[in-house]
Amino acid sequence: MESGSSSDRWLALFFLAFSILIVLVWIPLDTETGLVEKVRRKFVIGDALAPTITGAIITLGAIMIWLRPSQGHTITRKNVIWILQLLAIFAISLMIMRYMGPIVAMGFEGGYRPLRATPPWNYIGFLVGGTVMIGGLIATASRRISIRGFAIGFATSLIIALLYDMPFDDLLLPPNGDV
Amino acid sequence: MKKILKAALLATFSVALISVAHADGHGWKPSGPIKMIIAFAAGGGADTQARLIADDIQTATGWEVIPEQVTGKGGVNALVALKDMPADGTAIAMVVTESLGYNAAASKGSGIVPSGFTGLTTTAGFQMGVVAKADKGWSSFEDMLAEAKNGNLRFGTMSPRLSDLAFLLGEAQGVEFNIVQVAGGRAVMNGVQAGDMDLGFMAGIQRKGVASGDLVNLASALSEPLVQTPDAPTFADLGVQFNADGYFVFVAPGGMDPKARDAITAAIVEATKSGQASGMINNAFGGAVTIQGAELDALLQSDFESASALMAAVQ
Amino acid sequence: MVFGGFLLGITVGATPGLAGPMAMAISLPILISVFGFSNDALLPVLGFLIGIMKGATVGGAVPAILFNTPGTPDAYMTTLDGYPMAQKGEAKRALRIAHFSSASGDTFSDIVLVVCAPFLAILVERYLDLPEKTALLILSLAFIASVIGGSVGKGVISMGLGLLAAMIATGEDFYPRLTMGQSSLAEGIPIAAAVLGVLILGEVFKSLEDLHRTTQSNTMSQVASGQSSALSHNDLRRLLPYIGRSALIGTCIGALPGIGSTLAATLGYTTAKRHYVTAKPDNAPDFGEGAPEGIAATEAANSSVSGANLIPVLSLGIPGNAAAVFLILAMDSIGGFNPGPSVFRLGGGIGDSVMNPEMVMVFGIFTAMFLANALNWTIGGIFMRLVGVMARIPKNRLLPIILFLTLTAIYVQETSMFAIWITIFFGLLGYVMRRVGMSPLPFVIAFILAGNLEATARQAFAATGADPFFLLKSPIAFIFIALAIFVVAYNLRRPLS
Repeated sequence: MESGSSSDRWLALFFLAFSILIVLVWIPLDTETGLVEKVRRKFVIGDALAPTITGAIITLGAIMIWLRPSQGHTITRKNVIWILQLLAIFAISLMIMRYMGPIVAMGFEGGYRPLRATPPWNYIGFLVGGTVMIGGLIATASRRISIRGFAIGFATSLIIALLYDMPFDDLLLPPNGDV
Repeated sequence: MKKILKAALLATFSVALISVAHADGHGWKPSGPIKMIIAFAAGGGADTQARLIADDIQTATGWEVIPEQVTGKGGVNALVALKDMPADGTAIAMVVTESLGYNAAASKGSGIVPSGFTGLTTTAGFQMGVVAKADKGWSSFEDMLAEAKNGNLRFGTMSPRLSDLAFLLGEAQGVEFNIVQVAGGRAVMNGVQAGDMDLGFMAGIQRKGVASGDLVNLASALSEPLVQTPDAPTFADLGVQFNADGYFVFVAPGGMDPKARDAITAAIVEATKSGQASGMINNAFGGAVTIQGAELDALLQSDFESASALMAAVQ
Repeated sequence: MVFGGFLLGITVGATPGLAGPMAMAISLPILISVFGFSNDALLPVLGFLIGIMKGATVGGAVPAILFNTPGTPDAYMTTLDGYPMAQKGEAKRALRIAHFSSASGDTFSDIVLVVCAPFLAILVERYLDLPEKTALLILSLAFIASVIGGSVGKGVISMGLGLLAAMIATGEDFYPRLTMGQSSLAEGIPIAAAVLGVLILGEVFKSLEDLHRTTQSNTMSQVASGQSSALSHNDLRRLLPYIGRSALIGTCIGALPGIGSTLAATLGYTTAKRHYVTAKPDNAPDFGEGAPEGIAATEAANSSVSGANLIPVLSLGIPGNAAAVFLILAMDSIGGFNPGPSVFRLGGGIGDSVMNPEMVMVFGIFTAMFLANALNWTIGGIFMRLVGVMARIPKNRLLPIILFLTLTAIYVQETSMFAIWITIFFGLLGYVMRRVGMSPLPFVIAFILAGNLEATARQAFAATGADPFFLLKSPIAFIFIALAIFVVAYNLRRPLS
């Protein structure tokens, strides 16, 4: 109970700081019009008003948590490590997805861009990246690297790729809209 | 001068092209799929028009065209996305002339100017009218004006430029409107239908409502009378020296190969004159209007330049 | 067409990450190029879209019950009781309840639509001007933030974050606000990225971690075949009051423009929860622990939105939610149908002596809806259970697949790797929110309503001639605002659970 409510107090402090940062730093620096503006000789609501009110709402929420902390759940170090693991998997697999096609197509005239809607080129990045992402996640979740996980990843990516690419001419699979 | 000459030459060239050679693209062929950026929300009339044109081009020429949405900020987002793409005909965008005119001038930070783009062709114009609901009991602009003198009416608009025009209209007529700016012509229509606004700008969307007697065109915001209600006064008649003339327009990044420009222009024009797209354009936008080449360049440039005069007029 | 749309709808609804509106968005241009723009095209196209809309609402319950991941945002509350039931080996029964409640709610709502469409929406619109609409949105948000979850403070913060995320790049000025100079953010945060990120990815991240910690066998709950899954008359009698109440709530909310099925589901669930506390038999499970009433209340409420939703659409041409938007867009692109009060005018129309052709069209749409309902009652349940075969796939393999499918669906819509990273970012946010005991639902609803709220407030301010007190001048708006403050204050005093 004690540690629970103290972690909620920390949460309140965090959001208090966050909302102050939004209202006093982010919004003034990153909006072009103020709280209200005079346009065509009349006042209209500016772009900064709604975010400022939102900041005030978050402050209010933080104060409410501070005054009435509940038996909290909290983020532990284990959670942070888990998140970093996930991010690593995403970073690797998305990099592969983005650059695999262009690397393979390097030897061809014009590179990957003209080929990006032509099978089998358009599948390269998606299939390899998808296999790594799904296989990696399965391995992390079950704490065991298995060929089967990657096989499932490959099969899934293939099915999804065909599902989108076969009936719909105009849809682009990742990463083909970026190249 | 040289530039204008060159553009004029191009224009004659492309006019000649329309009649003869759309099928072989005059020897030009894109190096890969063409990305067609659409500056309008998916599923709307403008989006459908663009997608049908893409389809028609694909059927007629065999080029692969891939439509993609980049919406927001009155077409400026789409132009920013298009700006740095290759100018080899593999990237084009459909926006409105206002995107490269008033909106480009108003968003100085974005670095969008008409000279940074290659205009291809317009596809259709707007029938921009000042519209009210029929059960307001106004049958003419004067009827509305009489009521506006009793109290501020709510005037719905869908862009800063139109808000400026609404303001000037009030000023010229000695009344004050409460200008309510919303996102898109459909929102103005909804607002007027629901009674949240008393009158508003509509760019062709009012056609069916006017035909069935639910809506009334009070005035034409164009330099010319409206096709549907030719008796309604134009903005010039009402003492406003600016107007809301505007078109859907296809553009490409600046410095495009003339061959590519002509071939793509011809393909788009062909789609607006025949095929599925033409049916849709006739149905929803009252027929194709294809301004190209030097005439289009001049139009875009003058829209851009007159924008600052309009902005100054409402200060 | 209705049939095809319906089957697609259930499948799509059952697939997390492919909500109905998304499927409608992808189908519409394809349908139009198939059927063209003639007047005859309107009915098949609308029929297909209505099929998707209805199918997705039913199908959304399948993954919610089996995998604890809502297929559509409005099925989130279904997970609370559906998943515990599946864990207890009652997945089939839970699906039957979901189907029964969903189909009843839907049918009820459609009947109300046919009876009330001409009157109700016109009344609502007549009494609610722009300031009142602004106040109504504020009231809905205040209600959501303070009612969901154990802590009002956390609910309010969750809502605040949702509003904040929705405000990125959405201002009226040409400078895209709050983007920190990132041009890739200039289009704003895609709604699918934020909503699916927080709801689906957040849940997947958390569940995968739980699997990672408990390295036991992690097969899904098997559907116990021995147990009777049929619903007895007794069951139905117990469920019917909950279904009825929720159907009523869902229908009322559906008729109000701008508030969607997610709010209806939430309200239906919380109302039912309050009644259940006093009415439940001693040995029955609590809400949140696998009470059939919880599923019934949620599914009846979210399904009954879809019919009533068309009340403002047909009679005023104003969409109430994303699904309705696509119906309007279809009518608009094809032509021959101009939704608005004139639709319900007898005769008159464009021809003189004949019936108003638009009215004929409306009854065509009604027919399509009831056709979809009939399909729902007959084959919907079977199809749902077919999709339920997926329950046998082990979760540690299924969750990564769901995640990848979600990311792909978002990419196909946004065509940018950056959108995928945004989705992952919101997934992390959803994960953290779950870990600190903050409900992600106020975030999602606030994100969806934020644009509407800010725009309506701007318009109300402009329409009243820049009156700073526009929210307090009209009695109705004043009552809404007072209620909003009361709701928050009242829930703040409520003992912590």
